[in-house]
Amino acid sequence: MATKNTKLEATLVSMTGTLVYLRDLAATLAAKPIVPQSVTSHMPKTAAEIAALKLQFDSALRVAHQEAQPFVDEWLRLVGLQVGGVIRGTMGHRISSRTDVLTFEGGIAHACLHHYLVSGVRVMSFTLEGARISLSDGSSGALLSELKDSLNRGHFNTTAMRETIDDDAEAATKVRKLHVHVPVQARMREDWVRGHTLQLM
Amino acid sequence: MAKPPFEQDLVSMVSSLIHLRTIGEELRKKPFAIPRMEAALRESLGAFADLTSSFERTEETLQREAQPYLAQWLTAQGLQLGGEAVFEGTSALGVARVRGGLSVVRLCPNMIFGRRCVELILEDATFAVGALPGYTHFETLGQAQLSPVLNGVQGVRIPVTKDGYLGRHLSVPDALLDRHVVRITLPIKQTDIDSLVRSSHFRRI
Repeated sequence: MATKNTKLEATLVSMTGTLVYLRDLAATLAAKPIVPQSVTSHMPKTAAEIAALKLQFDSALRVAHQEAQPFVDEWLRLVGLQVGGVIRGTMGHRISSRTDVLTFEGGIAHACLHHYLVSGVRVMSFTLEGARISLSDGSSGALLSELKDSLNRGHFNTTAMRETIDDDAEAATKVRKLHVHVPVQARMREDWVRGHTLQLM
Repeated sequence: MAKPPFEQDLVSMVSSLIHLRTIGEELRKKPFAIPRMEAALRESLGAFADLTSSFERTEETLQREAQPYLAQWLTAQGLQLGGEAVFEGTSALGVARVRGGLSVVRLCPNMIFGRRCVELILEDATFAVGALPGYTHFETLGQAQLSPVLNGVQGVRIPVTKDGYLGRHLSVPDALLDRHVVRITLPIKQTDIDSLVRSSHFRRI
């Protein structure tokens, strides 16, 4: 199976750069109130336009993700993963003589370019559904947060895994979601395998 | 004397403008897609362009909403839009003055010596040097003679003061020279203006 396509990788790397950059600016915009509280009441129009700017960032990000989708799909085909399919793998950490291993498996609900670099690496983010995480100490669960105690006791490497708390628009509640990050570039995927960060199975 | 409330409001507004400007400039600086990708990212590029113009519009709205507070600041300085304003600068080379019609007041988008400032535009500006009473155009007197009142002129030795304000408050935008327009930058805070006046380097007369 050909898992390397340099031109596609370069395209996705460039697109990730754009997403990361946009996200950074949006975060800067949101980091502190641009219009200090004390003058907000004096400048209602400015405050409204800044609120609109934040929404505009979101929609620019959405459009960029949409346009990246065909390239993401091509990448998924190359790597042999698909939305609706299953992703499974291990993450290990070698500390002296001891090896703590995390094994995971889950359905792929969503895959998109990630707008943050993970340890400096551009990654594809997979959102899991019906995930199962098993640790080498025998414990298991559906989310990292359920395994906090075991994770703290051991030396697990969870660089490639992330849990988010998202708004669920339909249920109007917060839902925890588990994500697995897979490097966009084959070279970095190999690097992560060597470093026990992520080995897909 | 208690600080007038508009002073802190203006300082906050300039902070907002600088913050917006920083993000907006960052946005303008970056090409969002490598040339090969432009066709595939047409909609995204459109969205980024819209975002950039929204930043510019937001800055303008901020400037507009700041106008009533700037008007209070002008009143406190004894100035008013449409009126005449005269400023005098002093350096080792002597004294020079500028006179003109005050047509614009805006929040200054840059910090000047760590201070948040207000920008004034004088139109039909004329200049005078030393004790001579007559005002004439910039070209007649030239940069060298007017250096006491001009913005950091090259090659002229200006004694540096500890507040560093000397000669930095007045600049002549090149493109506007023929229309005799000058831009004056003054700190918002009265205490900063007072220290300028005390040092007699730059003041309104």
